[in-house]
Amino acid sequence: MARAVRIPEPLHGAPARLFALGCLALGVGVLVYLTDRDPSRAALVPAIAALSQSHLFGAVGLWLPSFVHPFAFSLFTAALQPARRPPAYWACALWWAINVAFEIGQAPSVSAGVADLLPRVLGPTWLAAALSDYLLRGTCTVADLVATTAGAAAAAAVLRFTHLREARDAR
Amino acid sequence: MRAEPIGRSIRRVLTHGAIAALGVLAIVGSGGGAIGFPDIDYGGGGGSVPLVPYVNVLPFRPTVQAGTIVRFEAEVINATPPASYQWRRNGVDITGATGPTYTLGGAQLGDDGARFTVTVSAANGASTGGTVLLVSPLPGVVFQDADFPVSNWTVTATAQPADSGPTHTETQATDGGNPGAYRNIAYQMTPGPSSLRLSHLAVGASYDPATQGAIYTIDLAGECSRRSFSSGLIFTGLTLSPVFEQAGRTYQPRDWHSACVFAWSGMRVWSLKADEFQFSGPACGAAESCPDFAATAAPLRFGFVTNLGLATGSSAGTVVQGIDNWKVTVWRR
Repeated sequence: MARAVRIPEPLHGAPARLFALGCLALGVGVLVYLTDRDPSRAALVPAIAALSQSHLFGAVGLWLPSFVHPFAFSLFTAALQPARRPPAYWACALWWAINVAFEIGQAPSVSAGVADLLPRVLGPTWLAAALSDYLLRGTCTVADLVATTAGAAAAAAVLRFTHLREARDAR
Repeated sequence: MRAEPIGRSIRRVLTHGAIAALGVLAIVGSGGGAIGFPDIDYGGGGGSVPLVPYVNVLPFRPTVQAGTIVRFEAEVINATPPASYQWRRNGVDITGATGPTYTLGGAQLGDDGARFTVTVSAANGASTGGTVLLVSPLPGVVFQDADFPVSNWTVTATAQPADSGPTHTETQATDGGNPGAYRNIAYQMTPGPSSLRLSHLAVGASYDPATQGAIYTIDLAGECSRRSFSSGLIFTGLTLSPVFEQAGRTYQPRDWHSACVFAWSGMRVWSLKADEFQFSGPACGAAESCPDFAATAAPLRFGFVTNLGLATGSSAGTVVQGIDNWKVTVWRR
């Protein structure tokens, strides 16, 4: 008797487009760190001498990573949504909230207290040290919060557009 | 609507978890957002973020001995290239000083109090920052300890509760400082509310204005970290502040904020004048100067104060604090 074998579905259609757009945005964000920022400040970004301090993005590079992060990860999360479901706007709200929480964590009135709790929660780990650096050395800025909000809103707009297009194609 | 197979649901949850972990890792690994933007204005002014250049001049308000070569550096943020620089001394252009750094080839007593500014003109606007140079005719008197032998220090404790309250032990740790040896302070705390304030004075770190001269300014530096602590403790603070004692009063800088967290962190403040210290101890009489930096003043003894507090509800336990790179420089007139 023949058995039905289910073949895993490859990522295709709208989810694939969302994933690709997210990767593209994330790539631009990494490029900002390579060209416009001091790479020694970013634990996950290698320093490439040929690109360092080339200031490719100018003033835009100051807030672009804060825009890109919620945008890209909202799309990644939404791409995992089962097909034919309403747009996953919750993913945009979730990543906006995560980014805002981390940004607020850098405020001087918050950062020392949170950094104090880290070893209790995480122990003496790389993550605890990197998170401590992030909180104590980063800056909480209005520009970052605005860019984060804009990134999440842009992701929501992309999801809306994709959903409308899928609905039109289905008709 | 058909239910999703359980295997696929599990896979989806795991993938969601992986993406969430990657996302958080990307935030932490970025090192801290838009480096260089001005901080949010929490004063209720609305917090504007002008995308124009912002310039700091380093070092901030240094005191140097006459004859010292001083190199000023413009720390510029938010500037869109190309940028040009013009350095000024007391508002007058310095000929040829048009780079991101300016080197004063030998400070003179006539430079004492001089304001050095730099104007940075970039594609997105211009900004001016500055610093004041203080010049002493004499070399600085330096007291410092980066190794902390126990015999180099005396300790006075103030505990709450005073009877059967917290106790303390100081040792020299030979490794794990920033770098190398450091002072290890173990607080054996009683249940909260409780606190322990320790005044550490360096043996021999004494300055007598009567024999060594009137004081112009004082530089202070120190680092601390929290090495370990028992579970169940609720902290109200673990701090370090450099201090000096004079005529029964203890003085510490007004603008020193050094909470000790698990990573080594600290502060350095330059060129503090007498009015930039606050004191604890007997009230300052009308005819007194507190502190007194004059040549007739009483001797100063230097050290630092550490403080640990536990909140109500905290259990008893041990906290270990590290102190490193303590340094005081006394500049004379």
